[in-house]
Amino acid sequence: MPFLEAEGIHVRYGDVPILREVTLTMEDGEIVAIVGSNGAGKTTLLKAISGQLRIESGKLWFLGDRIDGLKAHQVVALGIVQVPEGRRLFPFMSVLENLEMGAYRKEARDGRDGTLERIYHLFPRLRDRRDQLAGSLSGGEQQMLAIGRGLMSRPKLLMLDEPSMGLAPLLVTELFRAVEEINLRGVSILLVEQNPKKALEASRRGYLIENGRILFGGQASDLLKTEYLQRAYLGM
Amino acid sequence: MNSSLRYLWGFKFFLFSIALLAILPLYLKNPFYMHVAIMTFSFAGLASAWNLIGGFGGQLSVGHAAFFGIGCYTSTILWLKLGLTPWAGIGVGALLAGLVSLGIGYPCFRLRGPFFALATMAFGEVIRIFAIHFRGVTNGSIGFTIPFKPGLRNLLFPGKIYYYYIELVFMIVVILISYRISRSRFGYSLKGLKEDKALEACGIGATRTKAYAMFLSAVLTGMGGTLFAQYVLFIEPDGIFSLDFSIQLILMSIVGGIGTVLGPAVGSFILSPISEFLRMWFGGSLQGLHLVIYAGLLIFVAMYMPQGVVAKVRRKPREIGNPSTSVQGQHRVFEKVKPVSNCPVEEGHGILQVKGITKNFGGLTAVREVDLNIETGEILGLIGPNGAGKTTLFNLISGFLVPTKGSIQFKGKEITRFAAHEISRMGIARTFQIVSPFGEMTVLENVMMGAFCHDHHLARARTYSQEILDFLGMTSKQSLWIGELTLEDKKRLELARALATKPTLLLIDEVMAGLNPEEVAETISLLRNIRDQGVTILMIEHVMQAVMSLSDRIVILNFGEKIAEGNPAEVSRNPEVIKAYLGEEYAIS
Amino acid sequence: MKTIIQIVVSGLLLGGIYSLLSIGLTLIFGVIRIVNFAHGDFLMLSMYGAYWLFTLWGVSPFLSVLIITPIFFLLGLAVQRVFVKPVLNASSLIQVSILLGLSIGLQNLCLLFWKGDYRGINLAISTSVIKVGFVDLGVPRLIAFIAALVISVLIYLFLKKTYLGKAIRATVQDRNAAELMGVDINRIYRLTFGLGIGCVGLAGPLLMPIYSVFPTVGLYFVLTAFVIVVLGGLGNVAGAFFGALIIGLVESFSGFFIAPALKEGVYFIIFILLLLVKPAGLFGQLGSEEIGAR
Repeated sequence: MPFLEAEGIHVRYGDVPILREVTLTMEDGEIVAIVGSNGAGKTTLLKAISGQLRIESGKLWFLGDRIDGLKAHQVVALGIVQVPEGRRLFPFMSVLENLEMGAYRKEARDGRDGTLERIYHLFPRLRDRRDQLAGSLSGGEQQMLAIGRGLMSRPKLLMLDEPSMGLAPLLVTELFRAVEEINLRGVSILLVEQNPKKALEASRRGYLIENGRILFGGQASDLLKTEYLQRAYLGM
Repeated sequence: MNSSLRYLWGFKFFLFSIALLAILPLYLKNPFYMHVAIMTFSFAGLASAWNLIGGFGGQLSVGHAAFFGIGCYTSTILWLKLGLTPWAGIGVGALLAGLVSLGIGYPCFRLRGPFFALATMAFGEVIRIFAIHFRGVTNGSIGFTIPFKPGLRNLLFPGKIYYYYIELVFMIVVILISYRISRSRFGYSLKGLKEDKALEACGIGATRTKAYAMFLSAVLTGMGGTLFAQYVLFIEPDGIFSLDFSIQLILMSIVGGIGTVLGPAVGSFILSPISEFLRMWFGGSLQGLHLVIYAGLLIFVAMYMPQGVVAKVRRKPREIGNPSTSVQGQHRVFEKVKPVSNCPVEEGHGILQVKGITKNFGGLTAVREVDLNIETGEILGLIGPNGAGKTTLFNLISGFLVPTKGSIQFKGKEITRFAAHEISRMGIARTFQIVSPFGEMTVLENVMMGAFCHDHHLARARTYSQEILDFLGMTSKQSLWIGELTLEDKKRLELARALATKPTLLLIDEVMAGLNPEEVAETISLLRNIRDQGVTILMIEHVMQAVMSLSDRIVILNFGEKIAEGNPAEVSRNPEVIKAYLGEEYAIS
Repeated sequence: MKTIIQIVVSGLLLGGIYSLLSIGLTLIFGVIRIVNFAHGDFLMLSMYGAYWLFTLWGVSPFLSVLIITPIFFLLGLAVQRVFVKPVLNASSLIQVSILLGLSIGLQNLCLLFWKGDYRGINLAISTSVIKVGFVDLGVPRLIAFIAALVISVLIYLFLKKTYLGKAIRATVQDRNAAELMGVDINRIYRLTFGLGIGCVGLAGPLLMPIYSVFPTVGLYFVLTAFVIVVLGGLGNVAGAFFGALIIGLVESFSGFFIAPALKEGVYFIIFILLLLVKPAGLFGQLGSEEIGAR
């Protein structure tokens, strides 16, 4: 049975349809990238999976169970965790407190200290800054904290929304290295990115979304080579 | 016209009711019923006056008792202590109330809903306390009794029937003023306050508009206060400056239909008789009962029918047609409409010069030392990854943000710190990344808001707006309400509204986002057309095919800085640009 | 000099009392983003509760507080469910109307049943005073202050140390992100409202030996509480406590140097100045966009 499966998802924002007939699948342990230009619907898709937006019609399965219609906290309880666009840290809580909040769901609270250690190992800078207020960190550190916070909940599926946004290229490389390492530890990853090259290089499969519709889905390496991608991004 | 239709129905009803009420005293001999009628009319007028700022203006004032009281006390004090006839006192009291309202309004207008309510509530309470405390002026808790010496000069009359007609006239006057406002540019401005950024983009200052409404509302409330005092002949602070009074005005407006012309009066006609009858039946023994009922009503109405009675009765006219069909026929000639040129462009200058513009938000620098020069008649594309600072730059140019450093010159004139609505009037129009149409208006009315930038005359603005809609191929949709539009329609509407302000420079923010390739092609052709009419365009865009085919020149921002500039061919080959967008080594041969 | 110190002490004690109200109010606003106009009227209710328990059954308010507080916590849960939850996403006009309606309704129900007379409890303790050096400390005020201090510390620790408390703080700072952590936002709203009204339930009986109760007593307290909440920064519990102390001092001083009746005038001026100059309050940054500061 597929790990995550979406079939014919429709989502509206007010009267405006944002996602139309979105269908995709994920296997356990994969990294799947979702690329597309701004406003294409990538973030909306993640929000719909997370239960933050209402799915108008269509079906969503996770490990064989229907999850469309669940409330956001129920989705998290199943092990689907989103690291939202723009990080959305708790600015007046310390790094440590943010990480602790990540482990809010019941299954994550036991063994929390162990998870914490592993995250410090992955992102050493967070250990140094653990008592600092999250709002005072640099962009790169904030992104690491956001991902670390997501990992604290011991997710089965980690969804990253534009993690490279606003990061210097060197940090982006470091970021994707971390993403790969996380995946090797058994976390499936759904990666939404505006920067298609890095995202598709790190992924096995990818989907191209435009205007709320999936235009192409397949092996990431194939997607990288398509002219469509070039045209979509540079208008050539 | 469709919008007149709904007023016509209401108007007939109004005339009919007035006629009825005018002859009613012939049949109504019981003095108590007369009293009920007088109170009903008085509150109808007072609630309608409140509605000007609370309903039309959307600012929930919970302190209107202060203005009422100022009216009551001013005329009374002037009469009792200086012998000034209440006919003059009513004017003085009203004016004083108006001035005080501006004093409290200006600092508080920026406050959001509940906080404005809170501030005005506190204000009302403080006035009450002052009235009790400053006994020298107001006689404190004892209050004033107006000696009953009937005479026209004293504005005192021997029989209830006189007061009946006076209050009836008062009510009619306030309603007529409300009506007149609702059909004027001012009224539309008030409706547009909910989208205050869009309002500023139409060249209308939001704060100024609120201030006018507040002033007018307070003046009329003050007048109602004087008339009330002249009827009841006894005033004291707890009864006059009471919070309950302020809340009754709100309640009546909500029950009847807040923001409508007749709603508050309808609310008074429902609630005042209830209140008076309860007072009469239970008087002292069940004091507070009518307010309990009021409270329950307020909660009930707010939860289940917040639009009020009038809205339930009124019908909304609809345009026949399928809103989802796409627009065809782009190439109407835009000849009748010419952008306003306030002054000729000086030689050697482009139309817009941005020098060293920087914007800091606390520790974050959103835009850093950006220079920009836009030539007259060009289409300049502004691109860059998410978070690069493009919309911030737009906001700086259009006056929605004040730069930390740097200068902006438009047609040679320094506009760096000008307010948004001033800049709109000067000829820079903009659209918004997240479309912001005025919610409670039709398509045509939305465009008219833009036309109001330069024309205060309703009919002329309407005609001009229709021409613009015609140019954009939206004539068939002019009577649709916003909720019935597709995204493409809304974006086109936003363009229409911006064009109606007769701009020489048009800032367009991501107008192609969310459109399918067909719609993108149509919009590209439309923008070319607009440029050919003499409008210079600066556009933020992510849809690259559009940027490449439309722009004469392109500027790229990343991390708030300009990283490249040039024509489309140069820019797409620029390695910096490629790196910023696609990542390293994504070479396009 | 001695007078000044007395004024300061009285002011601080007074501030402690106010803090019980302001802490609940600031939490409700910070978490639910709703202005609870009825806050003072719940205080009025709890004062009446203590009054009747004493008058009818001789229960001392210091005892009845143990009964009334949990009842009011539950009342808070119920009110949130019935009146607040349905309109969470509605316009502010609707929210304000509902809460104002609740306020007026409660006031006038009490007026209906119990008339407008001022009712007070006269205990021996009401007038007893502890002398510390040259300073007089009124016993009931001292008790109220200590209770306020204890509660404030408890709430502070709750928010800082427990998971639920952190969830509440997280919701104040970023509701959407909190949701993504698996926080059940609706539950947090309920709990917060219950907590806020529970605090009020605690305050009422403690205030009975000091103040008289009458149907509109809430209005006075709620306006003061709002000034404190804005002063301390919306959603900031420590700010609400210290802001309360500051306002207590202001009241004490203005009561002495200006007329006591005009202290509301002083508050109002402070309130308006705050809103104009520093809407984020002295201690906070959150929520200023909610008030409308640019």
